[in-house]
Amino acid sequence: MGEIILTFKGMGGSTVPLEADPITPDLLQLKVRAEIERLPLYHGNEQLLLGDFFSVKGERSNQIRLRGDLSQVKNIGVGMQTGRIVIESSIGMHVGARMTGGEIQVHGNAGDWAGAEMTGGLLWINGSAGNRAGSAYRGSKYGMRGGVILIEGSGGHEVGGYMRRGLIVVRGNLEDHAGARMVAGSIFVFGRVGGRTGGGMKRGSIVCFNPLDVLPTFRLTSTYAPLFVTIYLRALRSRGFSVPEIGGGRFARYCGDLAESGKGEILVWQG
Amino acid sequence: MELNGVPIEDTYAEAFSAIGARLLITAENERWAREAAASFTGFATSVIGSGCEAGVEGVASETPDGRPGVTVLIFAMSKKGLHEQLIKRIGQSVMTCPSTACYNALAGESWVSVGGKLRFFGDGFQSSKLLDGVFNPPVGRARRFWRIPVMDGEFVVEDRFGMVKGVAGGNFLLLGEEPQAVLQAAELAVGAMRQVPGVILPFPGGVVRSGSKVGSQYKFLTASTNTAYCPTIRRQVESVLPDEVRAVLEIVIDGLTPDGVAEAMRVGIRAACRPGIKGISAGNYGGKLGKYHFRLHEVLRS
Repeated sequence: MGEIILTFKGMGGSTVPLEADPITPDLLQLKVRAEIERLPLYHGNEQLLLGDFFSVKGERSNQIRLRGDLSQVKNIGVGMQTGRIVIESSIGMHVGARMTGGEIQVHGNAGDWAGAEMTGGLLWINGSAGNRAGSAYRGSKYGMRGGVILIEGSGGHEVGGYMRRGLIVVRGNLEDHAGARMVAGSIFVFGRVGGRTGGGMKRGSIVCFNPLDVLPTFRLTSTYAPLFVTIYLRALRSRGFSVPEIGGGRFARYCGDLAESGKGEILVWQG
Repeated sequence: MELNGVPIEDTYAEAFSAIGARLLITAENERWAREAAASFTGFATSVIGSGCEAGVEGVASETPDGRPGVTVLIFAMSKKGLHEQLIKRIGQSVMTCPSTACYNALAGESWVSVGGKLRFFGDGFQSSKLLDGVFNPPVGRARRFWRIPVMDGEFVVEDRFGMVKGVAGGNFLLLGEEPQAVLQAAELAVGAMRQVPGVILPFPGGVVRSGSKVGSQYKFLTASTNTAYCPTIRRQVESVLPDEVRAVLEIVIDGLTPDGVAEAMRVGIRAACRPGIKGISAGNYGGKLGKYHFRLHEVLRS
């Protein structure tokens, strides 16, 4: 099975984002080229065809490659269950949101809501992610409920907000409210984190490799070498995601948020 | 058939189906991993008397947490029996041992929750981490690790352990003139057999001297000493021992696969056939009880 290559032709200078929900392996693997070109896409309030915006090469494959400047293209891989999408540039908002399986690789930056409410699969962003990656949509009870988001750059505000399960790894920095109100799951941040990290968290782990201002509703319990951190770091390396060697390193464990159940934790690397 | 001048009896070892699991125990250093493994495998020589058979398989070359570790195999006659033994032995012998962690190391045909039961020791302060299946290609199975707070930090134990149908009771007998020479031959055999992956020798030092037969003159006893192989009573019973034989030792093998058991028997017998050994035989029950028959001549020819 070859791959389907979709090359973006641009939007004629329009700044209105293109909504590309149908671009998922689940759907495209069932279509021949002509059917793919006739798939409907919304551009603003106007329904147009995929072929109006993309040149299509290949058919009937769950491997999709996207080329061109896609920073104004939204909803790629939303709800995808299987297959693989490789995006050779930056991508707009909601990439991989609510995905349940498969893999998305972004060779650039991703817009806001990347992997929001995803329940499975792998979203690997080589650049930076916007705000609320892996978090809950407004009004939802839970954010990410499974799967993995790897961000090689930095992330925006409220990354991992309300997350219920899964793993978010950020090699760069995060802005404010990382892991806010998280219920479970893990966030690893190798750069710096902003203010109010873990605010309102019930359970789950936020692992920080740089000092931070811990909220007063967290309490230092101990300094130790948690094995699960080593297990995760080795797993990340085995997957090709480079992380620092911390052999023998210890972490300060802060439990919290004591304004909630207090069963969450922020682990801060002590070297 | 002879090997290095030692006659190999044309007989077979009769072995049984058993349910097996493989654990990986890691610790701060190999000493403490071995301490936990020794405790875990203690009093696990025979399913008849111990409820399971267990032994150290070897040193692990790769571990999830990067620390030194040893792998252990355990066999029982049923999934339920194995499940109970895993919970008891990990709970009493691994969780109690300083610095240890315990992981599944087998792609099972079926699975049982072990960490998921032991977690209650955490009294509500336990937590778990679910390592996504994307880190476990190509299987894609997610792995959950329970973190149980203990006095030296946390005990990490994997939630689910895999089980497979294995083989228990592969064996061969070393017949010799001098007890010391038979013991030396047994030691050499054990040394060679412990290099074979996927098998264990559950008895002390890998060797058993109290081989048994089915039944007894006492109604309350289901197994008793193997009178036909006991040299000190050879004139009182129907003995199978040649006159010059004054000591017999048995090596019992359990393995994850029949091929592994056969390979262990092969290297063990080859290592044991040396001066002082007068014959190699094997234990069976007439072929009516066990699913697996390892014919000594076939094992050595293959």
